[in-house]
Amino acid sequence: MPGRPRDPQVDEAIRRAAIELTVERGYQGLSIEGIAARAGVAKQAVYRRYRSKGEVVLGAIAEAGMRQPVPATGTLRGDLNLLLSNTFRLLRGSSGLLNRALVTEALQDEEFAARFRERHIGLRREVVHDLLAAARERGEADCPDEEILVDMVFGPMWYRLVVGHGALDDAFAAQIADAVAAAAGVSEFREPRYPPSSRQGDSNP
Amino acid sequence: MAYAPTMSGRPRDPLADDAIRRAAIDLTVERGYRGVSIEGIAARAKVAKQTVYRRYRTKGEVVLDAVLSDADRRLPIPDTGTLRGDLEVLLRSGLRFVRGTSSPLNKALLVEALQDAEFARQYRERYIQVRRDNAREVFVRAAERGEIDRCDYEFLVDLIYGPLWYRVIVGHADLADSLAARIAAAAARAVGAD
Repeated sequence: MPGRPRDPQVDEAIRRAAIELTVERGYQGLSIEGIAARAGVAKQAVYRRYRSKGEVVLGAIAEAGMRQPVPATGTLRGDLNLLLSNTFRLLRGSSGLLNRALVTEALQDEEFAARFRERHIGLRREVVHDLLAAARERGEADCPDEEILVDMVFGPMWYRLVVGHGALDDAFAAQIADAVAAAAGVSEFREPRYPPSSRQGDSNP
Repeated sequence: MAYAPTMSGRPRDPLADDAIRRAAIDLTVERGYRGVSIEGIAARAKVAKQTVYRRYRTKGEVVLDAVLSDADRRLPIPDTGTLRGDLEVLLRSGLRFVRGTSSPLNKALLVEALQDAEFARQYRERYIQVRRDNAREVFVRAAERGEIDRCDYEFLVDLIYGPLWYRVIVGHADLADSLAARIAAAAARAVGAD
């Protein structure tokens, strides 16, 4: 509180402790006390930074999100495929568990939900808006109803992550990228091309 | 319809069933899911706690049963003649099911599914899958009409329901009726049936 500069190493240790403990024990077993103990700092050091355990996890996820590169493959379909396949790879690891924890918290706490949208969801949506704008500038797509296109990029992912009825794999990333590119009006995707065998042009190495 | 086995073989009192389900819905809407407990449900329904536990394993199972019996079990498959029209009707009825007083109930089910794998399995089987099958049938019929190619229908179901659930889960935008037409238009465009 007294305006003392924060120690970035402590920030990092707290975030790492929150991630490790969620992976090891599940979110229900996570507590501020446990985070402080694992990070080797006083409980007050955590409370000075975060209001609740949900906020610590949100901080960790938001920080990791900012390190993700923005794709620039030259095509909307390629950009979306790269963005989604990278995101899915993370979600198949500890990030999936952490994101499920964040949603569990957000569904029960409107104030937290607002911060979750602002610090995490909103930034991710901005990236896709930028990709759509770039496609429009290239003359690649007219992108009608951008808001729905962004919902179509992330909606199927969250649906599967939360409900758990399907895998978050590369094939799913490619299907979403194809569908959104077509819905955005990219002409080469204007023909129905959904049989899985017809997938092509995977720009993701 | 609960999964809990009947311990005694004694016939259940359907009035108690109703009262328990009603209590679960009312309490979730009034207090939020965190404020709901089996004890609270029993007290509101004026039955013994054991009466609830004989029927349900957890409070989530009570809410799931309540939501399912409250809903129209017959989910009609729309038949407007076009894929886009059918999707719009389908999504509009889906939207009605996730907003208003249904909103806290749907959120409660998601919270429980996120925290309890056995509940998540029941939730998918009894709630999610029925709605997915309906949507799938809409795509199958569009393919039969020659409106779209035969394809991975499961993915197309994710494509139309994903945006709706995303808004329920994250709450970044409204769930107005107009959303149905917007998702239907984008999905039809995605499959070349606009």
